[in-house]
Amino acid sequence: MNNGDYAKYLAYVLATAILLIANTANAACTNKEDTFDNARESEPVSDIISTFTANGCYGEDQDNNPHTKKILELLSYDKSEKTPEELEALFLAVESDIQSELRKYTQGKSTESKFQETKDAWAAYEKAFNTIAIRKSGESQYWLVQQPNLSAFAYPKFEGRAFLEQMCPTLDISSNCSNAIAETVQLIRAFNLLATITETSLLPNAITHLNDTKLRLQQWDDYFNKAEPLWFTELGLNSILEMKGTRFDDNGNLIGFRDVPDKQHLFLHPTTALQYFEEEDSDSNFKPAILLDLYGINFLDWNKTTRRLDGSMGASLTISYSNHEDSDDYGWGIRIFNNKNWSFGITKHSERVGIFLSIGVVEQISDWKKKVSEWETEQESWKEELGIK
Amino acid sequence: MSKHRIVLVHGMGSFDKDWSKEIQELIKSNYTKVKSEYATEFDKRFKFVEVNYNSFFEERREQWKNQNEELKAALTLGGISSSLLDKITSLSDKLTSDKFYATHALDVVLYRYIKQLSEQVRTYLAEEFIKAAKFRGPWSIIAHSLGTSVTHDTLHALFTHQIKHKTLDRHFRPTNVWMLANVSRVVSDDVDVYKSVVKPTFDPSNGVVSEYFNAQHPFDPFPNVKAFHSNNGEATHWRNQVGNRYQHILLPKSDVTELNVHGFSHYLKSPLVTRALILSIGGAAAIDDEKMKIYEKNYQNKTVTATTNKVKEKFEEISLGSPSTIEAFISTTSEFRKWIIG
Repeated sequence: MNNGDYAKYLAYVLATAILLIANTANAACTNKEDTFDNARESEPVSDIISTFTANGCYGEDQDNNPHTKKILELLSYDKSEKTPEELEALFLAVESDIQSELRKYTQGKSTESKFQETKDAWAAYEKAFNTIAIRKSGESQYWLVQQPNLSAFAYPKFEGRAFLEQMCPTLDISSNCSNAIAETVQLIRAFNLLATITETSLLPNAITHLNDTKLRLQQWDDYFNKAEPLWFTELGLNSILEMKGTRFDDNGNLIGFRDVPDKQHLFLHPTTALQYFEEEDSDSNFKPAILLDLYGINFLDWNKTTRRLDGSMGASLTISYSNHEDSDDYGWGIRIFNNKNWSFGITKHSERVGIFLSIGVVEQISDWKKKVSEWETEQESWKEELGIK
Repeated sequence: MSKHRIVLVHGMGSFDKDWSKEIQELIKSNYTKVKSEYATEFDKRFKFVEVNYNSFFEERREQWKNQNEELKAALTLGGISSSLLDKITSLSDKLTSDKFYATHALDVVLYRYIKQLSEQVRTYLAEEFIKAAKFRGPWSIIAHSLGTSVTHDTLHALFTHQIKHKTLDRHFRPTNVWMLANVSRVVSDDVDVYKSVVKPTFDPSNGVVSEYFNAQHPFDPFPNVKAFHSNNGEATHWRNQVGNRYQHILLPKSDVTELNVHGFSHYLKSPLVTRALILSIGGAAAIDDEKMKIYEKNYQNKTVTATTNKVKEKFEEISLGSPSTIEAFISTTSEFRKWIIG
């Protein structure tokens, strides 16, 4: 077996080991959903370790190799609750120590082995390790324990140590080679453990951002469905006036998400209302009217605690169109509106002054005559019963 | 380890729930056809996540449609006529129709120019991305057309957004991002797509993607407006910086199996895309070379060029010169029918 084939087999074994370890881990370690949703804002490191131990996330205690034990020892000593910053510092320190130690160990094995194939195996692992573990260099603040992308493999004939021995060259069976492979597996287990702990420690950060995102989505729902419904052109105008963005990076790129606006500009905003003029010879003094807000402004009241929309109030300069006797069809005036569905105002049509009240959707307007008629009929009925008529 | 989440992001147009079923089946089928003996079964390893941001555009169209109906009813009921209001209702009619410009082109306009809507869409997508990222294991995004711009903008916002001075840790970044028919360079305007955090990198400090794949068909007009990978674009330098972590896949002109070369599935069927996609999500030894060759051959037989050649060959075979006799004509008809219908 030449070095190229050996390296290839080593890669297969590493991947198999990862899969095997991952797949035999307890469901509580693999199903992160419960862990994510139930994770506390800050969790003592020792609790994280205890949880992993209880769930067998890295095997039974006697299976723990020296590397895993070292990690557990370093992380388990402190039982006090830590702030997120302290947690981060602790993990950074542990990762730094462990990675440094693992790297030295790998290098040592590579140089001390007697057989060339074994040396090559360790050298290949060291190379993979350096690719796997992110470097903390320069100003980078990130330590990231990444897993190698070898987990596509699932060698069907994995059978423990016998398999490992098959992967070794015939000269080195059941000696340094298979030991090297076995230790590699242990190193990967330690690596996986570190990755898991790192991820767990970062969960509060992800939860915070997830919750913030959910709330923002609710805010946008409030904006579109509870505030004044804007037409296409108005949305465009508001996009220019209210959505400029306030945070930019050095490249001039907007960073983060834009906040929901705290006001809306209305422009050529049509709406419907019932307008009232005192008129004679009319079956009803209320008539449907179309209002066109030339310009208006609606202030949105965002609750400082819940960040949800409590309500809104605004005013606009408006033109009304309605078909009344003894009045011009067109008038101008002011509209006051509150919480989307309720508005009132006053308009002047030539010499006459009318008031209007918005009572909602077209069904309300189209049914108003019927409702008035039903009410009048009911009134007549009451009068008859009471003998007033 | 949890399953590898693959988030599917659609482009412009109308999309209902389960829009991605066809895409999911296609990816799974391609994987199964070419996978090596060392690759895990698809369903054991991967899980799809479907997103649908089109619903937000539909909500607005529905709202304008309803407002329009109310207004028209009130105009009729009140016996009111106004040319200005007619113009407003007419515009709304156009925006809420089922024509292409209203269901497809309008999506792009709404996303690009109506910032309230684009923020709502990005926020929704951000939530889906974090939910996919929270599981232990890699996660990927496959975006198409308008979805490439939406994906880019969302990732940038998500990983630069600060809450009490802390951004989302880049540990949760996607392993690979696939941009099919990438229009981000022309649609995204809040962020320079070459200078954002959405780029492949070894060091998470420099970017939020481990691998970035850009696929484009030369006959696809949409990404061609302002190609993401072009001599004028900085993406060409990414290859020098990160090697194979950035790949630009320009499909051959002959990779045409249907008129809609812009289609999501059309891209996914291409052997070049199939190969690179499965290697990126499955690993270096996920593909069996022999099976891949069979896949390529089968694909080539279905291309328009291959079909044209087949038709031409068949024509030469069954053509008996000028069918100057009625017998020759009937024979030709029979041969042709047999070939077409079987």
